[in-house]
Order: sequence, then C-alpha cells, then structure tokens
Amino acid sequence: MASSETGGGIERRGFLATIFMLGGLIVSYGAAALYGLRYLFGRQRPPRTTQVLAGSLDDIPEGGSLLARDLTGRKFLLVRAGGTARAFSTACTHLGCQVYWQGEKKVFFCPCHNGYFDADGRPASGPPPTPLAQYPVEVRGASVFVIMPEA
Amino acid sequence: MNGRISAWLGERIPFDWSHLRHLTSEPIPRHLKKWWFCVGGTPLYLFFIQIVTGIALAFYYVPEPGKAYESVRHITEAVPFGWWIRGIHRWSAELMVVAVILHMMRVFFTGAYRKPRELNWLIGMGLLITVFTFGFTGYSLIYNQVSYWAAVVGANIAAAVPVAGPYLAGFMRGGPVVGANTLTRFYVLHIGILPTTAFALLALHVFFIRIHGVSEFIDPRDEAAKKDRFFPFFPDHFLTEAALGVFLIFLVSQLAIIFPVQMGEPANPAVTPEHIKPEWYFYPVFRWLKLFSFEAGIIGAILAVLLMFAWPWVDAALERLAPGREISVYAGVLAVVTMTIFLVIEGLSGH
Repeated sequence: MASSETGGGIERRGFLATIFMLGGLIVSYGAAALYGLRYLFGRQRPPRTTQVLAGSLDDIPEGGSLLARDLTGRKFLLVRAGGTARAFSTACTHLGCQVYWQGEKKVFFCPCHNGYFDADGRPASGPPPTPLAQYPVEVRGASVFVIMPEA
Repeated sequence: MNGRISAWLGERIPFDWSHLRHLTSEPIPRHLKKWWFCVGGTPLYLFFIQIVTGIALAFYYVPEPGKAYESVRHITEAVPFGWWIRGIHRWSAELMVVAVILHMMRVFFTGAYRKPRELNWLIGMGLLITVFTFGFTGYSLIYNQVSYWAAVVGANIAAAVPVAGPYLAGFMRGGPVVGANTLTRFYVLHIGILPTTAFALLALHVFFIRIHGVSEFIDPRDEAAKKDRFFPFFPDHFLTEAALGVFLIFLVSQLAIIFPVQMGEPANPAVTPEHIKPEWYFYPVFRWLKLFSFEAGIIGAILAVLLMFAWPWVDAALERLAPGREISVYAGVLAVVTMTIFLVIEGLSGH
C-alpha cells in the first residue's frame, strides 16, 4: 500500500475506475436478472377476490334459485342447498348463453343449444364441454356473500 | 489450493489454454477503433437478447388460436415484468432490422463483399432473409388483427409465386385457410427452425470474418495509420463491443419502458380491417407490390433479391467493363433512395 502512495496515482485512479465500472455492470445486470427471475417465477399469489353481498338466504326458496349480479353487472345464480347456497356463473361454457335453474329437474338449462348441467354444474347432456364456473359462498347470519374474482 | 484446483482441472480438460490467447489476439484493422465501424457486432448482441427474452416468453405463450392472444395479454398484464420482457423482445427485433440494414449498407458501400469475401456476402443475405422471416412469424404469433391478416396476405403473396405458388401457400397455412395449423407452423419456425438457421449462419459468418480478417478501410489522410495498422482483438476491441452491448441493453430497456408494446384487437377472421399494413420494414415491398399486377410485382421482387445475392459477381463484371468508375456505389445509392421513398410513401398513405 505504502509503495503505491508515491508513484501509484494513475494506478489508483485506474483501479477506482475499474471498480466503479464493474460495480455499475453488476448492479445493472443484477437488477435485470432479478426482474427476469420474478418474471420466470410468475405470479405466485392467487388472483385477488372480492366479496359480493348477494342477498338474504330467505330470498332463495328451497330447491329454487336467485339471479343476482355484482356492481359491475356480472351475473350469477344462487341455488339453495339446505342452510347454505351455492353460486354458479350464468354463462354457458359452450358459447356463453345464459343458463337458468330448473328446480323441478334439478338441472341448469341452456336454451341456445339444449345444454344441461347437473346440480353440481357438471355438463349432463348437450354440447357444453366443461362445468359451469362455481364461486365460493359464505353465509354470515342471513346474508349470503359470494367470493368472486376481482373484475 | 489454486495449484491443486488447476492441476485437477488440467488433468480432466487437457487443453493448452495459450491457444485461446492466440485465438483472441486476432489483429483488428485500425479503423475499428472508431465505434461506429463496430456495429456489425450489434446484430449478434441483439440475437443473444432475442434468445434470452424469447425463451422467457415461451414459458407463458400458448400457440393455439383460441388462447394465443389471451396468453400474450397474460404476459403483458399479469406476469410480473412480462410487459418489460415482451417490450425488450419486440424492440430488439425492430433494432435488429435497423442494425442488419445499416451493417449491410456499410459492407456494401465500403466494397467489403468483394473478392475473396463473396461467400460471406451470400451468408449475410441468408441472415437478412432469416431476420425478415423472424419478424413476420414473430408478429403473427400474437394473433391480433395485424397478425391474422398479415398471415392471410403473406399466404396470398406466396400463392402468387409462379408455378410453386399454390403449394407454397398451402404448406405455409397447413390447410386451405389461416388457422390453428398456421399458428403452430409459425411457432415452430419462430422458436425452432429460424433460431437454428440463424445460429448456424452466424457461426459461419463469424468464421469467415476470422479466416479473412476484417477488411481494412484506410483513411488516406491518416498518417499514423500507415505505421500502426492493426491492434489485438482482446482486450481493446472486446471492450468496445462490450461497451456497445451495455448501451444496447440500456437502449432496448428504455424503449420498452417509454414505448410499451400494445396488444391490438384480437384476430377476427370475419372482419377485414379497413387499413391493413405490415410492419414498417415490409413497407417498401408492400408498396412495390401495389405498383404492378400481383404476379409481375412478385417476379420483380424475387429478381431483386436474386440480384442482391449475385451482386459480388455483378460488381466484378461492371468493374471489368468500366474500371474505377465504382458503378456499385451509384447502384447502391439508387437502391437505398428508392427503398426509402417507397417506405415513406407507404408510411404516409392511409391504405
């Protein structure tokens, strides 16, 4: 160290410049690599949801259904099942027509192409390829909340 | 400790590393000390960026007509930094086209394609076509309106090629209309066949540069140049290229942030957009095709590309006819001006 005190001015400047350049490279490429890793890991958190107050449990007759919508206009069907209810999207998985609940047959029916879904929303007959989207329901007191993905 | 590790490695990798020193001390002509002569390395650097970001995009992209657009939207809007990765991929693609054209003009106007470097000009032409095909298949993958109708128009252009046309178009689409087969074909081209081709051609391109050496460009006013004609590749030239590389990654990253890539309308085979336009680098060809009947335009375009391939020999013949007149330079200026005019006219025209 003492030897470079006298004759090493240039040397020290060169050394500092190298340190700064290497440091800059490491910081910038490091930041880029971090962003890249976050991209590759993807979104690990589940999509955000909101709770929608759909109505009172008493509004849904036993075996019947209630058509409700959230404030953005997305529709869903509530079907009474004893002390609780289940919520299904009204969009048919075939071509997006509106399905409705037929209480006496315990099926969802899509009038566009005669599609039937059973009480669990699974395709029963006709063209629908996949089950109806179902949303979790929470009953607090008499209020029915439907947990929907954030619009 | 260090000695033991190197002894261990030396036994397992019996290679004389001084060869590497010889390999990296290739003499570089003096003019390459000026950075603007070094932009031939830019496409190589951009190619590397494309590979890395392209692999990242393939993690999420789904090549199926019903899902492609949604998967690109998912990358752009939901995946962390997806918009950034996609932006870099897109912007370095645009810069790649610019860099390749500039590099080609530099080679052309300095006569660097002349004997004995004709073969490397051919490889360069192959790379140029590969880059354009990359661009075309790339923006078709998004499956928005531009993608879909570009594929339709592209197939129609292929169909108008004399004799082989209908077969070419059918092969390109994988059926009578643009659909699922077309998308998977373009995907395989874009992420498999073209990168392999580009990699092989680039390796050959660099190999030819190494065995010929970079062509010298001597400034007659530069006195020092006569004594001190060359400098070693490593570390001087390597550092120039590295600095350009850092600047490039900064530039594409900034472009991706300031001008984020858009999604466009999803592809709709039932609705033909009123104004359909390809990417800007196809404007000159697009305008050219509008000037004539479809068939005549396509034959003209094919002949122009063949002429570009053959230019080293055309130039040699012209040089024998009129020695020292540098007809190539005038021909090059004419070509560049024509292309630019076509590009501007197409860019300004509404349809």
